[in-house]
Amino acid sequence: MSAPAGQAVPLLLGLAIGPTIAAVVIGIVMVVAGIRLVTTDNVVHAAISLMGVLAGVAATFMLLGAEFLGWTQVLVYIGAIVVLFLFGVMLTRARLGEADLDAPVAQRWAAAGTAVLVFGLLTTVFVKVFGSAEITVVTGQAPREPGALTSPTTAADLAHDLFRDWVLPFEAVSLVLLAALIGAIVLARRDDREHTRPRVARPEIEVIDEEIGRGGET
Amino acid sequence: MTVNIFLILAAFLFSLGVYGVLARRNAVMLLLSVELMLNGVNIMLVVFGVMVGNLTGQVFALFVIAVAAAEVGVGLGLVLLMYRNKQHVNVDDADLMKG
Repeated sequence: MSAPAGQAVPLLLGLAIGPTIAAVVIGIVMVVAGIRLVTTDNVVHAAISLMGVLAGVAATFMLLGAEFLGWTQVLVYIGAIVVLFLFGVMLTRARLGEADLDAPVAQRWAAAGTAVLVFGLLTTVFVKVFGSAEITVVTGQAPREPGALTSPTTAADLAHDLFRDWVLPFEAVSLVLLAALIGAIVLARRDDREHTRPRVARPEIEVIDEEIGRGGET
Repeated sequence: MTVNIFLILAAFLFSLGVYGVLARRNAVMLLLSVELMLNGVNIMLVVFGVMVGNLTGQVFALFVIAVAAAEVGVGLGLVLLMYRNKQHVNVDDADLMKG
């Protein structure tokens, strides 16, 4: 899927090679951080590794001309979600450096097999279907063509599409976010009545709670 | 640059996420691995959007980011609740509803 010759500005060698090298370097960073994420024994290190992967994804977005999406990635993912994860790690007091994070060895081998299978399947499909597809980097304000990477997508372009063709899904997503926000507050809220109620009325209920908790561990 | 660099990278991220979800027992690590999978899919969406030549892929990636934020919020809320009730976040031991 190459761009029509009329639109593509003739590329200098450096301009054609540059993005590929950048993609490879970003890819190596993401692969290393990702492998570290799924193998480390330390939850905080995993969260930091996730930050590396997310930064790589943001850089990839910008390489592909999705400028607004890249910055959204930085703000929402690196800024908010990673911090949320760090709060989660802190509040669940996962002991640092414990080896209890992983499943038994047999299950890990099965998981690795499944992951290799998924990767092989996806890669085979991609190579077979998109083996010859190229993204041409076109400089200047050329009209958008299939397979041609023109000037970065501006926020105005994206907003035009988002608020004209995708208004209803956008509103639905905002509703989903609101519901998730309220749900998270309701779920994680400490029930104050349990602590203010006189303790005399509570013992048998607490015993049952503890038994349920203990029953689950065996 | 060839499209396959990005697509194979995205597939690798997705597979790492699959491995993480299946091989980890800590609920927080599970959620981290799900984020890996979502990001792999996001890269694919943007690449396909460039190949098709419109912005639909980017709009979908934006939606995925929003839904991922909601998912992490609710997921961590559940994990906190689990920790409060059981003093651990081991998903293998969360089998109260097992038949």
